[in-house]
Amino acid sequence: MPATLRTAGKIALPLGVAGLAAGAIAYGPSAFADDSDPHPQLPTLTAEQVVAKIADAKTETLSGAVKISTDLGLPALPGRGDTKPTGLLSGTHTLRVAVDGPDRQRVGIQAELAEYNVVHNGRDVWTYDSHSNTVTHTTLPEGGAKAALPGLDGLPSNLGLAATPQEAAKKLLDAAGPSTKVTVDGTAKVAGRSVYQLRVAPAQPGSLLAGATVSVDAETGVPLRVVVDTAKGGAPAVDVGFTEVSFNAPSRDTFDFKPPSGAKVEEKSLDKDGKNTKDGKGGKDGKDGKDGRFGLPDLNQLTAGLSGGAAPKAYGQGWGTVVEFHVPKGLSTMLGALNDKALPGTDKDSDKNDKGKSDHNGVAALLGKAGTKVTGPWGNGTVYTTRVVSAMVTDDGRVLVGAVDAATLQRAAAGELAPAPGTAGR
Amino acid sequence: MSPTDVAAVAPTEGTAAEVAERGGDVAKPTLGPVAPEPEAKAAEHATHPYLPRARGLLLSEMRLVFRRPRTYAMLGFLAVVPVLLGVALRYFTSGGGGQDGGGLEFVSQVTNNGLFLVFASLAATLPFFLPMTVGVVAGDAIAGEAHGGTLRYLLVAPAGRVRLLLVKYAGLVAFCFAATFTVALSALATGAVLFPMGDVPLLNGDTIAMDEALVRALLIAACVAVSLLGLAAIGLFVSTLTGVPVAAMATTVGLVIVSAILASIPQFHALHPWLFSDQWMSFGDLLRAPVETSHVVRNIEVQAAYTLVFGAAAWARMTDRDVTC
Repeated sequence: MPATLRTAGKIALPLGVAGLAAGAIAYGPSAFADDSDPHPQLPTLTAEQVVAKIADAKTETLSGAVKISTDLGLPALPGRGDTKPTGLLSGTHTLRVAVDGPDRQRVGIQAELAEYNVVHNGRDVWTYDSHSNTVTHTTLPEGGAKAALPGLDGLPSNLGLAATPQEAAKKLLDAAGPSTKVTVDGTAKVAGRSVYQLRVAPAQPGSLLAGATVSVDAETGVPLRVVVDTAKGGAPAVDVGFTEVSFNAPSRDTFDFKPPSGAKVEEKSLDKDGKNTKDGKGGKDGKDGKDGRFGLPDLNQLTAGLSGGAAPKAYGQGWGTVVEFHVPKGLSTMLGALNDKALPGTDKDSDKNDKGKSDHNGVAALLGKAGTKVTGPWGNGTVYTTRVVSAMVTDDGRVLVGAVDAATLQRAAAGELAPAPGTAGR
Repeated sequence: MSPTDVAAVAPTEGTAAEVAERGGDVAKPTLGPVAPEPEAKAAEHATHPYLPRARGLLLSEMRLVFRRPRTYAMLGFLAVVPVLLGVALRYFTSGGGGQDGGGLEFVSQVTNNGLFLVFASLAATLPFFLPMTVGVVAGDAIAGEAHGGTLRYLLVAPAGRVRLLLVKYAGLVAFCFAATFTVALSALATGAVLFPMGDVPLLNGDTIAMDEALVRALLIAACVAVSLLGLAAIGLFVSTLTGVPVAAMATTVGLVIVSAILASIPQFHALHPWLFSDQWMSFGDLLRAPVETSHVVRNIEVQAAYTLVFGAAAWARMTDRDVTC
């Protein structure tokens, strides 16, 4: 064999091995997974029947692992994954979920070398943050545990996030009205189980979201996966689904949480209205600004902080809802000025700033990029757009937010959209 | 010179070269302790034609790696890191670890349990210190022999290029484990001296007994050592490309830095799963309950893939290389 040919062969070998290895790594795991039947044969159901199946789901016990990937077009932050619920706003996270009826739940958010656990067992709610080695223990009021639970800090659902496919599906279907098309889009496998794929999509254009696919377990009616697509395509805005699931009751000691020795424990208790009755650390208001670690205040906080008492208004309905609220005089021009300067972007220390400052830092950080100036018959404004949310700040102090494109926002600003039914008072 | 002449002459030349190299100091032409070895090896060789030869080469490679002052210096440096970390946490931290444990993981737990110093030290050294030492040893593996003029003697002696590569890689594997366990044991000793030891809280807040925690610490150290194997293979390949050891070392360590930079830029997220350092922190999954194996397995797959690819590349380069010095 000529030397050059031999050499070529020898160069080809490592390249071939590289190709094989790449293939094995990229497709290997799925080759071992149970995808023998990617589209299982199931009795044909209508969309209404599948929705009814979700509503009728009797499953009270469940455990498994949930994978959440979010790509909301928010600034991706360099560094390690964060375990705090706000960290779920970007990147990919794994959650361990265990549910045993309404009184016992446990969620563990896993990140690199750290974990954030929320354990609810009867009247006790524990959170444990392994990174800071801190525990909070909240005692719920007797009899009113369920009513007080939504007032609790630190639960992912209170940040406007759906940490499990059930929550996500519930939010979606609750929001579905006449503006939504619901269809059955075949069958699939999720976490080794056969599912119906329910396609939920906006009926009219103008939304930044293309719709969502809900995978409903054929046997139990439990939603196992929800994928929300954006109109622009690309990676889904949200993809939350079980990677493994069991409907057997988790063992009782899963919910018996004892603070590890040496951890700092913060005691709280809630009265029936979900208000803090006492704070273990005398006056230290537990969470104040802590969740704003990434400068991402949730929308309620934002509106409460910015609207200065004036009730926000809403236009349109369903997927095309636009919320309008007023910012205190001068702040909108400040926002405009801010836009011209360097963006604070990923201001990690925003919780140290005073309230107002952290809020408008929050707006810029939330949107992560400079806005574009727009003008219309309604005045001048600046539009910020991400993959799933657009916001417009007008020079006369109005802020309009919605999962819609910039044109719809401007129509709302010009008063061309009908006020949303029943939401004007909020 | 006819082939038979080469075969006759080679063992003696190889011996001299080996002796010079094994001494760890190029300036010394001969050195006592290992001089008798070749005769013993030759005697063994007479009765067992294949295996003892390989074993002899492996033994001499281990001696080469572990008798060098440089290796001791690096292992000593690695052993000091946990001590510094422990002393800093014990004596120079007010209020026990700070509000959120600062930038390093596990640090807030160390003051309560010395065993966490093992995890904290491994987490602190894995991104840079450990790969740096591996890069130095790997970069030197072939290039060092070429630079010292001993490579051709090793090859003339009936060792074979493939076997030489395998033996060199075995030496690197041994060093990866030695370096990792140096950090772990130093951290364990420091932690036991400076901090209380006891039952260990897992990441989800459950507590496990001390003996089970020690088993997990052992597994974690093994995981960290395995994490370095892909880099070792890359370094071995780079080492076959050049006769200048420092260039190979610098390139390998440079690749570690490039990988760390790429991993820290979110816009390159599509590239991240392919980086050899992508799953390095997966060892933390062994501290969960239940233990999460998917990332650990993924890490082993990635390291195996890098070892195969760069092992094959090193073979292709090595068997085609003109060894002139």
